[in-house]
Amino acid sequence: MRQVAAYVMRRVAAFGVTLVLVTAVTFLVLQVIPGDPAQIVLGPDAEPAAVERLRAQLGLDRPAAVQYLAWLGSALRGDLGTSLHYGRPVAELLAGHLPVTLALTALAAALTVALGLPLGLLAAACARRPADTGILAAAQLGLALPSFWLGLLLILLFGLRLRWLPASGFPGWEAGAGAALGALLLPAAALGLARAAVVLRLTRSSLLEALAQDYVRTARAKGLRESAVMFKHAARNALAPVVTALGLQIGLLLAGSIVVEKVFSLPGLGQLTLWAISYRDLPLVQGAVVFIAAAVMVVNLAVDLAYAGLDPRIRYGA
Amino acid sequence: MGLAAEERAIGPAGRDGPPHRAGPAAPRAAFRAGRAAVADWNLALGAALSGLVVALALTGLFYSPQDPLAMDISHRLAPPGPGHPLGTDQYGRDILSRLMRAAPAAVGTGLGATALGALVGVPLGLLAGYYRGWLDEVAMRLMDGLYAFPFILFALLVVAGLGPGLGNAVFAIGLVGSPVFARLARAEALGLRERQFVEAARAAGARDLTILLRHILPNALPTLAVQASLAFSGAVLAEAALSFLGLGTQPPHPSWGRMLEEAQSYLTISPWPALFPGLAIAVTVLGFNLLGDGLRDRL
Repeated sequence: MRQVAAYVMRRVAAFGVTLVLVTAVTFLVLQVIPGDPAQIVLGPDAEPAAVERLRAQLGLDRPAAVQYLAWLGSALRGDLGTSLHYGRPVAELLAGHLPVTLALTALAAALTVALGLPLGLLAAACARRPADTGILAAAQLGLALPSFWLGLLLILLFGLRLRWLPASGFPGWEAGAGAALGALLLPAAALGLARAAVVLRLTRSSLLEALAQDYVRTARAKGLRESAVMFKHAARNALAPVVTALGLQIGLLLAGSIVVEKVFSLPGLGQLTLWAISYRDLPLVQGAVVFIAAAVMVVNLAVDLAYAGLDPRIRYGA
Repeated sequence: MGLAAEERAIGPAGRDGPPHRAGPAAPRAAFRAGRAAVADWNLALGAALSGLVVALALTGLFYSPQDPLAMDISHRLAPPGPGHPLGTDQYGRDILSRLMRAAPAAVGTGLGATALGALVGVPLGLLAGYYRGWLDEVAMRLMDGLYAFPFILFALLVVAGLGPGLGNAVFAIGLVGSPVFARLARAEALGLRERQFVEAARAAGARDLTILLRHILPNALPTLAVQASLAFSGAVLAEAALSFLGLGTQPPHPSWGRMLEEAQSYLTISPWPALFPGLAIAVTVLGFNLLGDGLRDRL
């Protein structure tokens, strides 16, 4: 038990350090932005005195290090500043746009697992036979299709030709779960396919590796049916690394939704970030980038910790 | 976003995965043989496809059938046919010519970002793995900070800071790709520094720099070459995504991602402009992924 606690502490500490680093990098990159945010808010014709006043009000007249520490201090208390364009708290804007992105990511993750896991197991079960080759080729293809192009193709086929699903836009949660789900189905497919290909390949290679182990030979030698060997012995051990990789994939889904939200005009975090960039709304850009990066890191941390709970080798090792 | 990012989970330097035990020799050998056959296929197809793309890019530098910027409003959104083998876009511009003229930017992005990622990551990783200690700690923490950013998010951030454009996109994509190179180079250096030939070189009085450049780097090159191939396709994908978001290559210069973005508004009228640029991206990514996979299985 002590090892578990120590492991959790170590992971959480590393997470904290990295998160602070991420905020520092974000702040630093946005510091080099040409032009004065106060001037951008007030427009090119604003009086110099008014610009100066706003600079003071926004705290832009202080040294960068002081500005960063002040931002970090309030961020830790949940205050990410105020959007220059919308004039509303950044945290409130993020919370308002989060549900669509979360739903899209969750749906895409479900698709990733539902497609990648069984196909990966199937490919490994018939390794180096035509079915395996076919599945692998499909995965290689799935990896190469950019999500935004796949999105356009899905819109063309299912939205415009067949008219089975809405081509783009989001009806809002008031429209009911069915309508909302329908609007997210094509985006989730566009987003999840490449991740499913990664999970598939990993599942396959992991299971093949497990099948080459001594305990599998023992299981076969004592006369177990092949299906029992496969699912009771090999698959159970093979899935552990897949679970870890899943955390990484969910993080990538979350980040990838930025592009897919644009293809399908979904009002999520990605669209908000893109708007913030085009309005040069620095506090909002900063808040959104840090928030998305932190969310990705939290997913990975959660998966790592859950995994350590499942596999004792992790918490005793390194 | 990029494949490089995904393969982090699969590659030899996977995150906190369980230590895999080596299997028994006989099934392993059969496994290897099967893999080698697949690797040959992957290598051949990958080399063919990526060669095709590079040839297209080199041609596109000097030649395109028509002026990729010349508008012809009377022939807008034409389907493929004589005169315009791949059709025309919303301004009547020849899509084939635009695809060819955009190819050098795509391949150049891949090359530039991969080179930057390797140039930042490899020296850092080699030094960290060779010297260990505080240098290792600081360098790797720094890389962890970058590594925590998903590809596309960091690229967005840099473009928000420095402004849109191809150069900034290459810079962002290259930098965010460097942690993978650093981790791989570090792992190689950690393993190689204990080997006898390195000890021998040290005993013979070789300086650290000589050891790093002459003995450790060459032995790390195969691993790094595989990563370079995967980083290349990841960079092409990331640049296309950025241009699709309007933050990469700026108009009127054609870029595959931008062409797709423009085509989206006219999907209901003509699907053709939305087909071919995506195909070009997919073929490029597929080619370099196959090349990387084939190389890795060959090692």
